[in-house]
Formats: sequence, C-alpha cells, structure tokens
Amino acid sequence: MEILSVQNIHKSYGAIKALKGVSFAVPEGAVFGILGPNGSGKTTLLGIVMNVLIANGGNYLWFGQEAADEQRKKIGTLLETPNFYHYLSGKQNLAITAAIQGHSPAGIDAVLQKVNLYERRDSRFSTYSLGMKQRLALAAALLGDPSVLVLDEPTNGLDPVGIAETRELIKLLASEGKTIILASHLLDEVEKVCTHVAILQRGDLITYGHVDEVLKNEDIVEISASDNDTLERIIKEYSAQYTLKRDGNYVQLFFQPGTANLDQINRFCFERGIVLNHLRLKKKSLESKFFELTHGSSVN
Amino acid sequence: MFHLLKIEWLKVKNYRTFWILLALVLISIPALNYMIFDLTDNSFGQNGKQVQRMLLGRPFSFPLVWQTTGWLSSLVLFIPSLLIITLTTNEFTYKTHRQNIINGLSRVQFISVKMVEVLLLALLTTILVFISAFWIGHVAAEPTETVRQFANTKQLGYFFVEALSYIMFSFLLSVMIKRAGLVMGLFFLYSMIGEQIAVVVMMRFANDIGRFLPLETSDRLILNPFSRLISTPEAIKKWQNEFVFTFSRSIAYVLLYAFICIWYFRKRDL
Repeated sequence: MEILSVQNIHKSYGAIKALKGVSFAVPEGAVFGILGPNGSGKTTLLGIVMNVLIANGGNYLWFGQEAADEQRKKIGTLLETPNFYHYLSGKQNLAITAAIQGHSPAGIDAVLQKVNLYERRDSRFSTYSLGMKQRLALAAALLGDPSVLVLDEPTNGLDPVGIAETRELIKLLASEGKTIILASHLLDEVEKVCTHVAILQRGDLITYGHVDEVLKNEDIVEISASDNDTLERIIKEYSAQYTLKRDGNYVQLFFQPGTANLDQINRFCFERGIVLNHLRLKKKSLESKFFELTHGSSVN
Repeated sequence: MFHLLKIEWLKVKNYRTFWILLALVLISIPALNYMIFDLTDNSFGQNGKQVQRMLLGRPFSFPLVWQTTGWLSSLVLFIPSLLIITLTTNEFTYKTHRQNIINGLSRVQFISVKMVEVLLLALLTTILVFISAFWIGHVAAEPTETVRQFANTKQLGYFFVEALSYIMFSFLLSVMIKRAGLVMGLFFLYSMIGEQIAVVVMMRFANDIGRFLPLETSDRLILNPFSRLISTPEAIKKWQNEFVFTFSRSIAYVLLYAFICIWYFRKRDL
C-alpha cells in the first residue's frame, strides 16, 4: 500500500512558484528522503500534506484515501521548527499533543526518555536549548508510537552526538517497519538512512525512486602506494574495464557497479612488486550525484 | 466540544498570565460598580441625599441597578478582550496553531473552540454583572422599602450580547492580524478613541450613522443610567423605538465576526 501519494501539487507565494507540479508516492515501510537545498520546497510540500498550507493545485492521498483530519492523528510529525507553548514544561506540552491525538498521557515519560529529555521534563520550554527543543519535537512525533513519521530536518540544531543518536533512532524505527518521510538538505543524512529518495530543486521534482536506482553509480576504488607514478603505470595493465584518475595522493579506478574486486587488485599489485598503503572502495557520494542531478536541471 | 475544551484547559491551567487576567476580570466588574456606587452615594454627605436623588436618581436601586451595572461593566470589557487577544495571538506567536492542526485538529475545530471560549467569557462577565447588581441593589435599598429585585433583569441579556460582541470583535482582530502588540494597539485605538470620535462626529454631521459602527451598535443596547439630566424623554423614546433594530444588528455583527473568522481560518496558509 502507498502511505502517501502526491499528485501534481502546485503552490505559489505570489509570483514565486514554490512547487511546480510535484508527484510521487511513498510505499509502506520506506524511509523516504526528500532531498533538496534550502528553498527547494521541501517544507512547503510537507506543510501541504499536513494541511497547514493550502495548495493551489493538485491532490494528495494518505493511506490511499482522500485527506482527512483524523489521518494526521496517526502520523508523528516534526515540521520545520519545534512549535510549543513557551510557558509550559516539556511534559505539559506533550500532554497537549497526547490529548489532541487521543493518546494516553502514560506514554509521555517513555518518549521523553527515548530522546534523553526526561531529566528536564519539568523545565519550561522557553529554557530549552535549540537541540533540546528539537528533541522535544522528536518526542512529540514519537508519541503514541505512530506507524508513519514525517520528519522535517530532524537533526537541525543537534550536536554531533544528538545527530548520531537521531539517525540511529530513525534506523531503529525503520527496522520496526515504520514508514518515515524525511526531508533534509543534508545529503549524507539521506544517504545514510533512506531507502527511497526524491530530489527537489526550486519546486521541481528532479527524480525520485529507490536510492539504489536514483543513485546508481560507479564503484570507485581508491588506491595508493609509496610511488604512485609506478602504481599508475602498473595498474593500467590490470583490466580494461575501468577508467583511471589521479586525485591528489590517490589513484582512483572507476568500475561499473558491482564489478570492482579489491582482492584481485591488491593481489595484482603485490605480484608486481607494489605494496598498497591504501585500498578503499567508495560508492560515488550522493553529494556529487546530487550536484550532477541538480546542476544538469538548472542548465536546461 | 468538551474534549476540545479540555485541550484548551491544558494550555491555560499552568499559564500565569491567564490567571492574572482572569483575576482582573473577576475583580474589575464588582469593584468598578461598587466604587461608583460608593462615590455617588457618599459624595453628597448625610444631608445631601435629597440633592443626590434629584441629580442622579437612584441608579443603584432595584430595578435600575441592572441597567446601571450593565452599562458600567461594559466600560471594562476590554479586560476579557485582552484575555482572548492574549490566548489567541499566543498560538500564532508560538506557531502552536500549526502544530495543533498538524497533530490532527481540524481547522474548524481549532477556531470554533476559541469562539466557545469567547462565549464562556461573555457568560462569565454576565454572571459577574448579575452578582454585582444583586449585591449592590441590596446594599442600596432602604430598610423600609419593598424591592422588586428581579424586575428589569432583561438588561443582563443586553449586557451579554454587548459583551459577546465586544470580545468577539477582539477575537476577530486577533485572527486577522495575529501579532499581539499590533492587535492590542489597534483594538484600544479603535474601541476607546477611533470609534468614539467617529460616532460623535457623525452624530453632528452625518445623521448619526455612527450608530451602525460595530461596537457602537451594541453600546446602544443599554441606555446610560446617569443621563437623567442629560437625556430627555425623547432620547429614551428614541432608544425604545430603535431597540429591536439595534438588538438584531448586534446579533448580526456577532454572527458576521464568527463567519469571517471561520472562513478566513479555513482558507489561509497557517
């Protein structure tokens, strides 16, 4: 079943076209990354499917059905900035969320522990740091153990430990079979946790699909030895099935996906008297792919 | 609706500003009325009772006390309005209105529970007027006279409509303008100065069309009880003749505010 399907959504703010006919579908159980630079329309898109913004055109379905208010009670959402009552404590704020969604307040302590905010549960929201506010928003999204999560820049404002914890949490949630829609401008965030990705740029959906398909790429083998010039000369005899590039202190070999064999390369060099001091398989980073995709489109 | 009110209760029960403003509402109405009563009753001294009654009549005796307290209390309706402005603009300031919708409230639910709060607040002020009038009416009564204490209580109904109209007007401004400071500034500027001047000017030069202005309409539901010397029998007659029209206009304004609020909140980006 498709959890969310978005059909030809348009949105303008005056003369600015924020979304220009975006369509995609999020399958059940996916970790669906919506990737795009700032101002590409990610938050606008999520705002529309959460009914806080009104689209100028197009349609969207949740759980295969026309949008209805009740559906949002089953979705844990963190949209843009953490929005809470500043004068209430974290716990009191979550009590409101629980009441709106119809959950028992008994689950509040558990989600606060999950995001490491339990110790500060009785402090006022206004005294929280940016990272703590973000954690509280994450806790609110987790309340009631929803099967679908919509997370807009969930690691925003978190310290490196918090970022790592959040990513682990997302992976854990995904492994429990939850569907997660994750908007981010951080490429490696999407690369690390997502199964699917949609790439937005200036309101256009450039491409979307399974991460492996969208980001289908060469295997890059990075090697070096004490004498890279000799290495480069020798390795040219290895195979004709790759292209070669010098990149600083390394020699890079570009193979078709799945064809690089590190064992063979290592043995090949060693048998010819070259000892490698560096041997590493790199997937082409999403970053370079992302620039490739978005750059290509902006030229058109 | 009860569930929605429970959510609203969670929002305010630990909010100090709410309790301070509510306490002000609770105190202001009885205090103002008693203060004015005390002022009119004691300013003329023991031997001045006759003069006082000649000049002012007995505005705090039954049955006139219902009209007097209603009219006086309408002067402090800005306090419950302030409460509604605070609670409503808070949601916009903290963007919690967005969060409430995201969490699953419908837009209409969000806006209508706030209007129920306006209704409850209007009801509360009316109850306070009832208590004040009942109390002061008994204090002001001569020991020897028999009082018809519940005659003229229809004035309470007029006060309720006036309170509703006034608070609802402040709610409308909050929904349309959203920013606390701006709403309060405009509300005070309009209700205390702008409209008053407009009404006086139009009374002189434009056949009194100022009576159609939103707040002036409901202001005219209750006649100034202290105007015995100012207002002529003709003025009272005019008030009586126009009353049904004034009353229906007041109700129409309240419905119009409610309609605009719902329509605006349903159609807009939040």
